[in-house]
Amino acid sequence: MSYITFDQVSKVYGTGETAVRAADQVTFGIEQGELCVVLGPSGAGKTTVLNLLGGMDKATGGTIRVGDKTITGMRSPQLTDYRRLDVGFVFQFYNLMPNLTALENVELARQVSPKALEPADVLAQVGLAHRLNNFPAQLSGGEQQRVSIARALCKNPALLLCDEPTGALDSKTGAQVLELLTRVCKEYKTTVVIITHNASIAQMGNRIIRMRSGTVVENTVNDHPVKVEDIAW
Amino acid sequence: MVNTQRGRGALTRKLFRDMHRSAMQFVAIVLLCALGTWVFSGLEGTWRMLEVSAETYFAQANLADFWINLPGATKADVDNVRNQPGVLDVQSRYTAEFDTPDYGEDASLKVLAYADAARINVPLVRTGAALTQDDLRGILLDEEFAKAHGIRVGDTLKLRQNTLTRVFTVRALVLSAEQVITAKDVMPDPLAYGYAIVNKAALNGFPVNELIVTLQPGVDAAQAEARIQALLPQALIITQETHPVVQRMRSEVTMFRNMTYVFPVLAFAVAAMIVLTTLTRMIENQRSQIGTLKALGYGPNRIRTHYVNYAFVPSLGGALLGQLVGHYTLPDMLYAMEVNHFIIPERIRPPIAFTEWGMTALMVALSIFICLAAYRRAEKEEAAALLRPKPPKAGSRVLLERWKGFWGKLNFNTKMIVRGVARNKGRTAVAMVGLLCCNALIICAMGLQDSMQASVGDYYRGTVGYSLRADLDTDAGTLESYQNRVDAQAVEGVMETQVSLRYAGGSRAVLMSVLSDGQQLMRLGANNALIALPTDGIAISRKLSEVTGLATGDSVAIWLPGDDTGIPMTIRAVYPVNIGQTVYMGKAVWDGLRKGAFTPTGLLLESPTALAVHQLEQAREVAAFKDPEAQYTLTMSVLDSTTAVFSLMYAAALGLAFVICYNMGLINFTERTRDYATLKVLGYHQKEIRGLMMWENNIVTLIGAGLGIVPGILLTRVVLDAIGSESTVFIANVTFVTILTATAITSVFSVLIEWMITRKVRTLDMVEALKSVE
Repeated sequence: MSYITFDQVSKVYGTGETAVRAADQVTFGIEQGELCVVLGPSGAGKTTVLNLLGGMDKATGGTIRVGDKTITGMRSPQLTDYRRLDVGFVFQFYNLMPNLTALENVELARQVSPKALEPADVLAQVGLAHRLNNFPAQLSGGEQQRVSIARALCKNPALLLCDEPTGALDSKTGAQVLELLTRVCKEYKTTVVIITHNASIAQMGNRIIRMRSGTVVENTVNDHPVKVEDIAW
Repeated sequence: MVNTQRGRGALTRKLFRDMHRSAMQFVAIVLLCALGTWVFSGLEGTWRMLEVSAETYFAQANLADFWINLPGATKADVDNVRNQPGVLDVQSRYTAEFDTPDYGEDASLKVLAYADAARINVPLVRTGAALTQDDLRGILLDEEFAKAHGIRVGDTLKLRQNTLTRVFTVRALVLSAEQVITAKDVMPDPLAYGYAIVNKAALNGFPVNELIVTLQPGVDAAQAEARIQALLPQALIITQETHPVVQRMRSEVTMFRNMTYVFPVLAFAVAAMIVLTTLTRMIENQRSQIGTLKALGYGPNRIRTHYVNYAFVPSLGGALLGQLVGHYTLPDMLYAMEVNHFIIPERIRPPIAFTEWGMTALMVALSIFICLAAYRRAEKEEAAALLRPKPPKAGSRVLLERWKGFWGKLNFNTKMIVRGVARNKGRTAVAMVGLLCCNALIICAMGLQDSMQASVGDYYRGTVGYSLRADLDTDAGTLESYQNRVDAQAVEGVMETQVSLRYAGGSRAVLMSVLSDGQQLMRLGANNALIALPTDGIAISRKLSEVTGLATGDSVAIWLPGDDTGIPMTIRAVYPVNIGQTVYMGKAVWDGLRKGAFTPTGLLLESPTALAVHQLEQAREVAAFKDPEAQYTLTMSVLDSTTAVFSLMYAAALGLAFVICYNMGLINFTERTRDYATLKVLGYHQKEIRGLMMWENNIVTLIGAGLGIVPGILLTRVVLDAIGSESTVFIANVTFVTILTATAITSVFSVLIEWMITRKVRTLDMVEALKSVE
């Protein structure tokens, strides 16, 4: 059985005639330590899948399993513990606390995680040892995204979920961020799921899941992932 | 090209849908505007209702301008006064107190015996018929006294003065404007005291002792008084300003009027401030929509008008609602409390005053101005810039971080909260000022009550050192005779008489208290210390000094009733006595004047035995007993209507606190939804996020409420200065317990409301909250 299993997972917003099926009988599996890219156009249901996987949203039907945990059916406090202990999030727009420095933003994660890593070390790992005491507004987009990754990594999660992590970045900075995520996946043995609409990025993943209209149209294992520096943007 | 009609309809629909979507904030604006005008209109309406009801009553009764106390006045005196320039009418009468033995030994009536048909101070007949000129057996009786004793028209009433007794038949039950409050001392007690009107001819043998005078319209009363005083130097002239009843009625009106312009204005200012914050946020949140309208080609006037309606509609609705509810509810409630003491036949509702409309207009104008100011910032930007979302405010270090040792000791959450508070300075400041004002208002409301209790208590429990006072009639014996026969720890006497105090720039009818020189039962010094009375002059009370401007060293003249000349005196001291406009004189000084023997009008008794009290009760010359503790209770009960206003202040302050805390809390939550959602995503439990929110709120509350303490004390002083009556000095006395209680109320209130708001974390949708772009 895969580390991550989506079995006939649905997410329906609204009821009756106005019901929207954001995820429709989604089924796939992801192995531990894989870097999986979920690819699809806008409205394909990628973010819905990521939110369900991250315990940020509840499925309407089906089963989601991560390791030995069944996410579907968990109550809110259990979902919070799941997010706290097992999942790290990286968002397109970083979602950093503007009134906290880079170091403090990472410390924010350490506050709730019993197995947290040292924030300054993690920031050094992402190349921000010299920016520890800067506020988000004093950092570039790429640097902010790296703080966001450091914050996610600080919790030492088994699963790193990234929602369009390069969506707000230029190609050069985007490549740096993807390089970092690849490194994280290898060095920390973290399962990384990246959501993107950028097909060229998909080549870097060990696994590529293509979605359209709320359904999985393809789930392929990529035995020869392309190096980030070789991706044509 | 935009179709104007369709555009207008769409914008109107947008306005109402926006209102629906931001219902809580619009409701907050409506409530704040309503609260701001409600208290103002309520108190404005109250004093106007009191004033118009009382003044109409006075006018209908043809209230006298002067009451001239002139024992043995002759017809020539009446004619001479009538011939003075400016005098419209004069009537003579005999005024004295009579016992009513059929209704208890303590019951008495002030009898007003008119020499001819009453044209001045005309009694209002409630039941029965007015007296005819030749009716020598008829009496018009105070309706309240009659009600208290079950006396009806047609019943007989026996009046007794010394050995003389007369029996009358009650022709009518009446109200008298000059007796709008009928109290021998502090509180009306219709069982013990009332008034009656008879024909002077029915009291044959009693001399005229009072002239009542009305002046022609527009005549300067002070000049007319001076002319009459010059004509009748021995007369004691009481004007409407110094008439104890009329003055008490009017000072009640003044007190309410002064309160209207102190407390509600503050409430109004706080409300306006919160409206400012709310509207500014609402307009800022419409930034991209303003950009869209601009991009669609809507002209600046159309867009501006649309957003002005954001302020105009709720502020007009709220301010009008507050004004109307305030004007039509509060005055009735407070008036009802007032007429427990004052008997006014008809309650007249004044029209809504210009000031009330003005306050409503000001609230609306202020809201529009705030809205326009907020809109102008967006108006200046290009459509493209407006369509780009505003970048979040950058974080920065706070001042506290300079003290590295202290900052280092703070835990992570506290540091985060401090930074958050500092980052949202404006919003935090408004919340703090709101809480500051609430706490100040509550401290003031409680402090006023403290101060009144303390000031009245200071007199009856401090200045007054006796445990019982026995009022004596004119046929009292010498002080020594009582000292010899009354068994008490101490027996002292006071001789009180109404005198005319004349000084450069005016004259005033005041009470003169002559006390034994070595007296121990009136502690007239600072901090209720015993103090020796001046041996070469007089002392005056603090209130008399305040109203006349007289001070130590000033020269005055004291005119005793019936004297042709005044007695020159020097003021040697101003005593810090809280109650009464009183002249204090030592017995030795009195004896030196050779104006008659010292005949006590009151016995001051310290710890009298039960037997002594019983003996005094049996003594014919003892008119009444006064227990200082009972006097204190009575005085405080008279102040009930004032304290009712303080309850109103509580209510308004708590109402303000609720709206402020809820509104600011809601704004805070809305603007930081993304932060809270991020924390939720990071795995913070609800109670941890709520804990952070509560902790932040507690810091703001503590600082805000703490900062409200000093303004609260100062406000108490300002209000006390504004409401001080003609006879009482209220000294600000805000106790530590009051400060603690008020601060606790404000804090608990704020914490409870924040607790309600933090419940929203439970339903905070992380996906929704993080969906929008930064």
